[in-house]
Amino acid sequence: MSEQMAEILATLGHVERLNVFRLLVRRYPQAVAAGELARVLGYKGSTLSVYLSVLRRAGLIHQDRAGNSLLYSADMHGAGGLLTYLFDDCCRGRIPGLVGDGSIIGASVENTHKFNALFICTGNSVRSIFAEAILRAEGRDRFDVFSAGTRPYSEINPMTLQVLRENGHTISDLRSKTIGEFQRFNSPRMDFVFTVCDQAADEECPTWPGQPITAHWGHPDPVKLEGPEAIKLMAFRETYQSLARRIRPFAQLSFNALDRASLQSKVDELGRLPLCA
Amino acid sequence: MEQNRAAHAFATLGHTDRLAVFRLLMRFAPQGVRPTEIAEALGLKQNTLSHHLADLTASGLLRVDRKGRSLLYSIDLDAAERLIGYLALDVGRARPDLLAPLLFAQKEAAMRDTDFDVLFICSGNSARSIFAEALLRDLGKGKFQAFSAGTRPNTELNPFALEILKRNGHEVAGLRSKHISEFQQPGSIVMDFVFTVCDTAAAEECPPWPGQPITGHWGLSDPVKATGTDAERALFFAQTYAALRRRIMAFVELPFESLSRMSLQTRVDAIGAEMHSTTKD
Repeated sequence: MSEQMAEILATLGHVERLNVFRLLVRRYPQAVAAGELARVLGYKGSTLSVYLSVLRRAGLIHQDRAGNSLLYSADMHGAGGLLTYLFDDCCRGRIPGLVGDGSIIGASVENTHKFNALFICTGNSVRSIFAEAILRAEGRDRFDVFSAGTRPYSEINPMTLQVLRENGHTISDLRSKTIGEFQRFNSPRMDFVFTVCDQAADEECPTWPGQPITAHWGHPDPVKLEGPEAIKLMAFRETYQSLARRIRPFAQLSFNALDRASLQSKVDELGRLPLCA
Repeated sequence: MEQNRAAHAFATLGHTDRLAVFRLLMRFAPQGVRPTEIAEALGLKQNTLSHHLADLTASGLLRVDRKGRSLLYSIDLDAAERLIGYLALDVGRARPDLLAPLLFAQKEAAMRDTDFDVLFICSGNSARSIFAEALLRDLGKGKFQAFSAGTRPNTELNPFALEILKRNGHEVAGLRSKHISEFQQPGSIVMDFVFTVCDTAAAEECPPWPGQPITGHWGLSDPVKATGTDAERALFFAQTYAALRRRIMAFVELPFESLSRMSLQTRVDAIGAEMHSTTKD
């Protein structure tokens, strides 16, 4: 037991490998291609593959094959095992902040006030704006909805506005803004934080206060699509539909009947839905 | 916790011997342990151990204090908390699937009976832990179920210990030496508190107790090992009994209902620490 745990600790005891693992946890439950990991983290492919094989041997990540490429995802079971070992076995439950007195689990999602939900993408001009508008419409009386970008544009993409109008959303109060607006000491405490693009999940981001439930619902950026306007518009509509397919069932969840663990698995499940209908 | 610092701490713990040192000191926490005792308990060479202690101290996981001419190494509990917090909150984003084992392992409120189940452990279960069991049973005003066990129990209770218990009015009929495995079976009583009352028992590896009981280390020297005339030995047993009596009187007076787990742990540690110096010397 201790030998195996020492190996897992040694594996995480290396800044680059720790970075790979952190990134995969942020993207969980999504599996990420090795090439993308190398690009995002700026590591050479050969170096990265060594990190990946060490992490895999320690039971911290999974490898799957999709066609020709290898996909990696975090192994929550392995990570949970290490945490339990450190907490329960090494520290004998002595680290009280983590349990009982509630600094971690204090942020229960069972409450009577409305839930605060935040959607994040890079530009805050398409995907997170769609998500904000959809949840606001679907969960009007249950949610206060926000969106932000890690590198926001100064204004919302016109095609976003067009698709929102087509679907009957009010657009007057939507604007692009940076996540910094939600990281001030007096910002609203979030109950849910969703990353809706892979880049936003890839970026380092400080922990949100109050331990909101987080989920990664990655969508490609329709703005990046090359081609005639009509094709682009179609991609915007598909993105809207794909987000709506996740957000509608999310807004219907019976939050007071679900514990935190079940809620997490529900939002992870929604993240696993296919992108296109 | 900053990432480089966390990686450094993980790397330091990612070595079986250093991990064993960390685990050993955690069992003594918040008290400090001398390097010679650590080396002996873990079967490590003194100079190898010095390197491990230096590495662990450099990573911030240990503190070192000077007491007289010797150094005492102890766990920096805040650093340990930061490291686990880093893994749980920063890397793990407080995902409930990661944290669930931590939470569900705690003794369920529904399982809690009205009284507290307390286990005392020493090596022989023939004197110190037996004293503690009898004391808590008789001083605990029915609020506690007291148990004791040994990591290497003797076959019977020490006669000096029995004598002292009788003289102090304790019923000795139900007391016997037994191995801790009697409390490690499936279906065993889930403890609320587990105390090691000798350094040898704390130094030994022991699987974690189910239900995450509050653990404390109240190290006392072994009166069985005392040498001298019978009168001198009897005196040593009496002193050990008195030291445990003081601790258990302090323990049963704790306002259990109003203290959080964190405060209870602090009080239990304080009982062990305050009286440490007076009894050991």
